[in-house]
Amino acid sequence: MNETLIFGFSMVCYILAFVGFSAHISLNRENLYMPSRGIAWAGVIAALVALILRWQSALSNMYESLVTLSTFIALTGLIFTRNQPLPMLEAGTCVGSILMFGVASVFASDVKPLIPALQSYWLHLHVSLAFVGEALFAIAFILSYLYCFRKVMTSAAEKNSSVDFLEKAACYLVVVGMPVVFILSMTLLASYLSQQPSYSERWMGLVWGVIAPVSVTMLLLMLLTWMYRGAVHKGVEKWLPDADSLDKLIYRAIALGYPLFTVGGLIFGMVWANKAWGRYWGWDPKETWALITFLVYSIYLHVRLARGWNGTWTACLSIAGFLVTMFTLFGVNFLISGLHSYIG
Amino acid sequence: MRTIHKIFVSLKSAVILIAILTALATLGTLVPQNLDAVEYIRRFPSIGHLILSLGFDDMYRSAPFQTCLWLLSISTIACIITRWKSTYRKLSARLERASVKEIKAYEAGRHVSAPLKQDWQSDFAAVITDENDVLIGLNTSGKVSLLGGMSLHIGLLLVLAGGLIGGYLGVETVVRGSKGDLVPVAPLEAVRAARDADRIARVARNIREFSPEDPRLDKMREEIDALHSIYKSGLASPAFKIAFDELWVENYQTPDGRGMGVKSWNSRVRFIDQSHESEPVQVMVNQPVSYGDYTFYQSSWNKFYHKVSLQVEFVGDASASSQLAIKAGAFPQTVELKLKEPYKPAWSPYEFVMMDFMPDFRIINDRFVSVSHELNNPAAMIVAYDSSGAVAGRAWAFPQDRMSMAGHVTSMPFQFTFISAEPEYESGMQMAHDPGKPLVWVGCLLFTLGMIMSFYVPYRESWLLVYPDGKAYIAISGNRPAKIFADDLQQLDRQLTNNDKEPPTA
Repeated sequence: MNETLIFGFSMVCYILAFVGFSAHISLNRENLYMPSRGIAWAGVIAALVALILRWQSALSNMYESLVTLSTFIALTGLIFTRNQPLPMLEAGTCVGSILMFGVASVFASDVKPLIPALQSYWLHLHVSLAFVGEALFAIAFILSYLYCFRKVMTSAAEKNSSVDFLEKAACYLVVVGMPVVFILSMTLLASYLSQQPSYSERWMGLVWGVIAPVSVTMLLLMLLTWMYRGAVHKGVEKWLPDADSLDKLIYRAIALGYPLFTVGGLIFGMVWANKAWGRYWGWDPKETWALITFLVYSIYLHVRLARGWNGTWTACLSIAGFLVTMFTLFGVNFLISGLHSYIG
Repeated sequence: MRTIHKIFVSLKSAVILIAILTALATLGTLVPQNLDAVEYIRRFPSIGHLILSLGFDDMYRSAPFQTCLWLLSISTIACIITRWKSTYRKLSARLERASVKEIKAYEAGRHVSAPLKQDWQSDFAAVITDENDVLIGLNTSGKVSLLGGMSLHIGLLLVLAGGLIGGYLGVETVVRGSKGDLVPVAPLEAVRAARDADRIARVARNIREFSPEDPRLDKMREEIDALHSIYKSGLASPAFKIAFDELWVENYQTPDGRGMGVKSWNSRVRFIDQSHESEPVQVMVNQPVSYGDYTFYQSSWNKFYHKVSLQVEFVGDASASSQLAIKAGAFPQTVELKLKEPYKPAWSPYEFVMMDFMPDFRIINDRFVSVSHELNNPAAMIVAYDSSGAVAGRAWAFPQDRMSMAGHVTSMPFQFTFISAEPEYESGMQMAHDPGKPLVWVGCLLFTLGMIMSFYVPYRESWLLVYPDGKAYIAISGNRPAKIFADDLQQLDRQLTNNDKEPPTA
């Protein structure tokens, strides 16, 4: 069976799970929660089977990298919420996985033989562990977004809200700015791909499959949220933990992801680079951006653990960390050439 | 001195240093590195000079970046010393240093739900009485977690130290050779001299670009000459030689037998020094080999064509032919030309030199290039010289079916047609020596262990306060959120009171 079909099945599962979680939240139907989780699990298991089927070549190009990351985001989301149901986070991880799949569909999915430098067990160790870390950063990002969303809804519903002006501005910037950043970066990617002969037809898929639906959905959601802000605020109060708990969950996701990313992305990468190229560090753009990701999350952990910062500013730092992570994944491959350019 | 110490132990300084390092590293990926000075001025007319004066054209060796790394190392040492004191206190005399006020401030804490059982003291590893006659009991688990921060920071320090040592004492270069070649490898000091000469030469080039009369240039030239002579004497008496016995390339194949990309490239070499010759060893991508002070990595390969066979026809009506005494009946002739080696056949008044050979010829952006190593569209450029050494004409040779292209670019009374070319392989091996590597690997190991201990090993302190009036208070603290300790608190309550009922929540 063609693995691309199995990945397609996974994507359908994530879409159904997202619809299920959304209905569970908006219609207040308790009995929709577990079936939605079941469907999401079915999608994850199918995607894992497909990844195992193409294990030999997996992780060697952009398509495989994105479907793997998409699967890990859904998987870590389900594991992260196994003891504490968080339907809004689970819906968010489904959206993340769907978007990753959408972007992956632009890239060639055919299995190509590995170039000599990639023929090493370090490929799977290095990339898969780094992706588990990045998936946890994605969970922290979604939670940070929800944190800011909660603050925005609280400040909109309560006239004498305790949220100060700067914090409020930062939260609004995150809630409105993130979808805009996503749409802009996807537009940039589409414009870049349109100039590449090998993507002459595929890049339109990004426009009609990702940019257009996301733009329409986001506009509609923002409009509806603003119109029914009272009801949305009640929903947020019911379905989201309080800000303090969300902050702790963000920390937990980063505290789990940081060691995995550091070991997988940086240390295993160094060991492999030393074996393949004769030096463990060469300031290649991909290496440097992985280091920048590590440094940003190091700042997060230092200010949170040692200085006791928490709340909006650390949530913003977590969002900045994830944006850097995504630039390391996409931006470096497309905008800056280097030794890792083959994975584009 | 105290202020300096204060700055370095401050977390704020560490965070600022990390932020500056992040910003500089980002700039290093956005500003093209190691170009010539004129390129920066051309590409960035307004900030080109600033980039050069700050050394951002070689960001990771620039003074600001290196200073940042040194400062971060000092800050890490300060952090280790400070942490060691607090860790030692926690490990050695945690109970003695604890106070009732501190224990009562823990988020996960409450009064016990029933009177304590008689033998409650047996449930605690240690119990002391404070100055107010309050009994304080403590149980700890996961103490190793306390060492996590230490291990992590020592690991980071070792990685930084290893990196700095590697930067100053390490060398990296490439040795190339074809089958049968015996390539000398200079001793470490000589290779270091060559590395330093390259660095100085680059700086000198940049200075010369803007101020050709700069007095520093003479001194730099002298330094470069001195370093070059060290390198040359190193090559004259090499540490050892590498004999390239074989290089072979394996290709992936489609089911119908067509090649579809390179699967692997490998070299078989021997290391020969004055007293010893090693057994042949195979160097492969991802499988390096060490010898002497160096480690060798199969980093590249090249397929090239040194000898090319050509068929030569006399073109009687060419402009230059009228003055030549050539027997037209003696053609066609066959010649074998070697790249850039002059050859004068008996039948020709000219000496021929094959200046270039492109196995897969294309014209891209008005430039002649070869797009692969395969003989898909071979083209050879031949130049003819007369007896005085002047250029007499140029010609291009293509295969028979593409010779129509050659007519446009030939100015010789001969027409060359490509017959065949024997491929030769060249192996490129990265040769590296980095004395900082062992430190880096130990640092990585300690860093990893530190992260595991800090983030994954739960540390827990279970406290009991028994007041003189018999009232008791329990609390749990550690490196996990207080909510997680709620269940543990209930369990501790049950354990100390023999109370099977569900106690009230805190």
